Amino acid sequence: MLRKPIKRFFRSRNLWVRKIVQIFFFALIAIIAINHNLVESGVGIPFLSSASLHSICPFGGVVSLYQFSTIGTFTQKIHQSSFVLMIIVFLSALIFGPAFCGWICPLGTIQEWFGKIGKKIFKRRYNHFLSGKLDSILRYLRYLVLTWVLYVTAYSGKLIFSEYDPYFALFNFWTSEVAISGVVILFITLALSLVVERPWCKYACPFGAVLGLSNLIRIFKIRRVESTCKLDGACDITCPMNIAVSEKTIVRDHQCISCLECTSEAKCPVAQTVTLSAGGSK
Amino acid sequence: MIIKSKSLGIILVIFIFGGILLSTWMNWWQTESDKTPIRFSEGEFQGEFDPSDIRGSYTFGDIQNSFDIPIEVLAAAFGIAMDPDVSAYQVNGLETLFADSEYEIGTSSIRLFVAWYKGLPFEITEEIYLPESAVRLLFELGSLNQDQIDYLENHRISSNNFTNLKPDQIQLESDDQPDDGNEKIIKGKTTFREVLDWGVSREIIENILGGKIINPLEKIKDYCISHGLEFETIKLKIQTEVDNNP
Repeated sequence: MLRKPIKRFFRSRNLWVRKIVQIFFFALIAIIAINHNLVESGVGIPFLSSASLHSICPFGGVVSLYQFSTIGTFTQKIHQSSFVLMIIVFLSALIFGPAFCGWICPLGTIQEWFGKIGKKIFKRRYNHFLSGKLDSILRYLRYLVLTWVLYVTAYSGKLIFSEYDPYFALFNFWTSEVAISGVVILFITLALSLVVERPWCKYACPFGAVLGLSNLIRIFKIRRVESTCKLDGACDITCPMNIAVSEKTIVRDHQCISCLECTSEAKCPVAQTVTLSAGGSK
Repeated sequence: MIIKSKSLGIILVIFIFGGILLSTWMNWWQTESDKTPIRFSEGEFQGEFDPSDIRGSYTFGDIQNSFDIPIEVLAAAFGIAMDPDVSAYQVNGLETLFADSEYEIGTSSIRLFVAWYKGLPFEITEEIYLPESAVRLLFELGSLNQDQIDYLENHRISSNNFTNLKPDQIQLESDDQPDDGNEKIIKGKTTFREVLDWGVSREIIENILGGKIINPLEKIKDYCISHGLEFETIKLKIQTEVDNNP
């Protein structure tokens, strides 16, 4: 029998490694994006990649799949490196699930940072404003976005999504390359992050939609040991994606981002009860 | 087997950078388009780069790398002042540079210049003009035949008004800049889809091609190359149809 989540805050053990990895990749992408603009102005930083943001985005590989498989060329602005990154991220997702979303994606990171402000403002109401039913329906919206992106890219051969992509806008808002629609969506995303944790990831991210499917087949899964679980709801409250971990023994929810915040290493108060594990491990 | 956060973080970083290193080692890691033209596949010049495949996005530096023509020569030929940035000057910038000219000077002009400068074969399928400075350089080589000399005599235009412009005075186009959506001009990167969207029917295009369009996303130029068609000829015919569909 499940109990309601208890009304107290749990001892917080920060996953400092995740924070460091997130900061590292955010800074790396920001520096590369800035250097890309500097190089075009003739004052680039030596020994640092000046690749375009499109060429280091693994989702570029996904949107190019149709064109590449039919005529062997990439969608405009997409290069071979996007394909390489797509394969790397897919392989990692097959093993660990969408860890890319929870650990590496800079757009997810900045949403978390804005979320910290929201948590200070709204305390325990933060990330629990939407009703469960409406929320669960909206979670499938990102598959509609994914379908639309794949269709318009396959039809036009152009990267139309970049005009609406908040990730592209985040690292290009100071340039003329970014469309106003992208900046508007970025602002909406960051504003919503003050009340909902990772709103873009939950409701609109097409790459997250693809990676989310890996939760069904991943090798290392989030597992809960029923025999030691105190059913205190710590894992449910802390999950940024609002997954009811305490109701599952294995988390196969398509929204899990492998952030490990629910595990015994972080919020679960009982050792070895919620873990990222494979095989017959408890 | 349980994975802790520290291990997962390290594994992810190794995955990303290890994958990039591995792909770099296998020559798969390419963050920009390959700026080298195709090579002649047969004949006396088999294996040499084909100047007719020079594209508007190529820079003077790219041309120097492929055809071994010094940047100084290219800059002098097309009246561009030598500047540290001149190697990054894109060929399609010439259209802007010579926008006031009665005759178009652009990518085709570069192709012709490179071909005759290097003594490579080049089929002229449209009227191509060169600035006076480029023509003088070709004459100074002393390697042109009489037909080529006659052609240049009739296709040279004065470049006095355009000399010594610095690259930063010219609006450079880049792959990352959006195209002008209103411009209905067929270029090397134009796809069948764009022409269809401009109002030319699939049937008309296929009549011009003498074959079926396999995939509308394919670039017209790529289709021509793979089907042994002369792009410049096809381009002119389709452009005529585009112009007839305002």
